[in-house]
Amino acid sequence: MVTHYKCPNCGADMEYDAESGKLKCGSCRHEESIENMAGLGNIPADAQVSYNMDDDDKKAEQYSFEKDYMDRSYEDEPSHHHTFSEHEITEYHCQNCGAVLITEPQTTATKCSFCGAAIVISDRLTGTYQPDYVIPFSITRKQAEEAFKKWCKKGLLTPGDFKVADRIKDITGLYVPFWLYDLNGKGEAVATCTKVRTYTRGDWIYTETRYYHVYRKVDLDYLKVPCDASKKMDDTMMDKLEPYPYGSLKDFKMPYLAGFVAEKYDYDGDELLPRVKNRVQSYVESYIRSTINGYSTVHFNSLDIHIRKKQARYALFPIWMVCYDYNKAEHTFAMNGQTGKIVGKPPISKGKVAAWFFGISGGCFILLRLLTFLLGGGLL
Amino acid sequence: MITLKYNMKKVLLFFACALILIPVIWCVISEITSHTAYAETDTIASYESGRRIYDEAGLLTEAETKELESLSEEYGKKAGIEIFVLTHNDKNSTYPEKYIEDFEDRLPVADRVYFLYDVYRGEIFMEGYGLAETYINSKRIDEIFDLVEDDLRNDSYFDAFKLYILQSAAYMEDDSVLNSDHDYVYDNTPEGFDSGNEYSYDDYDYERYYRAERLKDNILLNVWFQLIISLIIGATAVAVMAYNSGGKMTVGANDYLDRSRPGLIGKRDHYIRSTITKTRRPSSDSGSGGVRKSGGFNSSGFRGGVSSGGRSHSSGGRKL
Repeated sequence: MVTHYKCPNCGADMEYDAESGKLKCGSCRHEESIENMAGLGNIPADAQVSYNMDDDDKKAEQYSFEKDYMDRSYEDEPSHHHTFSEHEITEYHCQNCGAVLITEPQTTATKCSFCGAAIVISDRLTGTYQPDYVIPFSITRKQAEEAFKKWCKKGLLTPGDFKVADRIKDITGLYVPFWLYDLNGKGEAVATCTKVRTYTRGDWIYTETRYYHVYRKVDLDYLKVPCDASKKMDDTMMDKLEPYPYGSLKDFKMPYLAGFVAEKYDYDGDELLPRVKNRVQSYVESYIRSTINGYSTVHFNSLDIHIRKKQARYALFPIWMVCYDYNKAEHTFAMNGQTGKIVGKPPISKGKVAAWFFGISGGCFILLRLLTFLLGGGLL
Repeated sequence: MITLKYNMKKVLLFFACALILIPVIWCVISEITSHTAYAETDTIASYESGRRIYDEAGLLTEAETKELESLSEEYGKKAGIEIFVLTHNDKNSTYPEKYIEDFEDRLPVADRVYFLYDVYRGEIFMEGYGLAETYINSKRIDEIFDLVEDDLRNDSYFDAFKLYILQSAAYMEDDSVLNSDHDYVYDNTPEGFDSGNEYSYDDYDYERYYRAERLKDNILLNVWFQLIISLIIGATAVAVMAYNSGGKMTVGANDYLDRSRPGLIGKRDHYIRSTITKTRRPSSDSGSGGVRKSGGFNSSGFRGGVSSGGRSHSSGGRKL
């Protein structure tokens, strides 16, 4: 099933407009709110895919005191999303011109390569593939292009001719699938800490070391930790694009996708769990460390951390992908479509690296020699 | 349950230590190998064959050297001391007082007097050891300098050294002004000492050399050490720039934390025990950084010092 969003005024195809946050008709400039247009999609209104905590957990929450975990369970909540292996229709037709839509199996929104009409493949956005949330684009294509050019000029190590930024090959607005995890981290640490004090009595210097047995127990909730679920996207690049301010997190409606490319997830919520647990584990650890203050030394005798998944929600985040030709190689950059943050590996100029290296080293050396000279030593 | 390991940090720490230790070791090695002002075995061998004139700056002709050698032998025998003349023009050598001390430390203990002309620095220095410390004290050293100064300025080196040899021998038989207190403990002339007293006369800038020595010993001021530190800073800065050129992670542990409820649910800090260790406080007169103090004044205002080998001596110096 393919969905077009037609202008109620003139019947032309409408696209999502990042500036107004509404669907906009390219022909007559008519704007229509998402809510009005969403009804045209075929999603059942009661398609709820996420669940709250188990009843047991709720009970535990009521009875627990501050001396114990609020959330007593140690097991991950089961996922309610499943990857599906049913036979998928792989061929869709544009309802404007009848051409076959060239899509990959993950594509959920695209443009007809013949007539350019914005198309949402609603089949691939239902059931287990229906996203819970979406963050709509708030940066337009033009703003993205300008922000990218500006960013290129800032690079300290990028070659001069790269900075001109006149070879943007392609810029694509992409909704990338993410899992948003609510995780509970329990941590227990036992440490031996010391406080060292020195004082002088007569001819002797006394060093007093006081040993402490330190115990910490933490129960932390991390909410909506994102993790990209697309195989194509580089994980570290996607992590660097954070943060996505969740103020503009919206319940998913299909019209948001009109005019952009969107994909469905390659990995389900359980497959990515180890990756996100690993990340939160370090968060819990640093939290525990931050609660041990005022000691000269801290030595952990034991540090046990357990991360439990409470909930995973499926969301689409906006990203501008910029393809840039430089020196016969293609460089790909990603821009957070909400905040404008850019990541990607720009080319690095060897000359500039050398210049900075010798500049900084030489500067430091001269400074140190001057200090030496001021203290009364020779210049060389 | 997963218990975290900290191996990664240890590895990083190891590398950081190595980066700092390598230049230190390098400096120590270069310090040891660079100390070859004069060859040790040569000095001892030629000393035993009776050599007293070490004209490394080449100020004297061969005939003059020969004559000074015989004068030194003749008058030295008469006065009961060994009379040395040293010259050098080596910019890498240590400062004059220490140069003579190091020379003395190589030789067997005896009564000696030295005259050093450091041509590179344009300074003359004298030290007396053993009996010569008592007889050729700092006051008499100054008098010898008064005698020979003009000859040295006029390049009449032979005449100057000859005068020094004769005058030194003469002082050994003159009991009028002696200094038998060989404990040079005062940085400046002792308290209550008459500042107009001629014994305290001393315009030589010892402090400058002690300071230079202290700075040379300080690794932080070493050229090579600073160069390496600079290179490390440069490399680190560029590495950070390159690493961050592709954008950096800006979210941290606190961005996703639910702050609506307290995270810390258990906290105990129990005192177990304490240990006390004591070390003797370093005495305040040992100077900063433990640098050896090689000179000073005794209670009567005579100047002198102690060599690294523990030989005390009278001393005096002058800038030409």
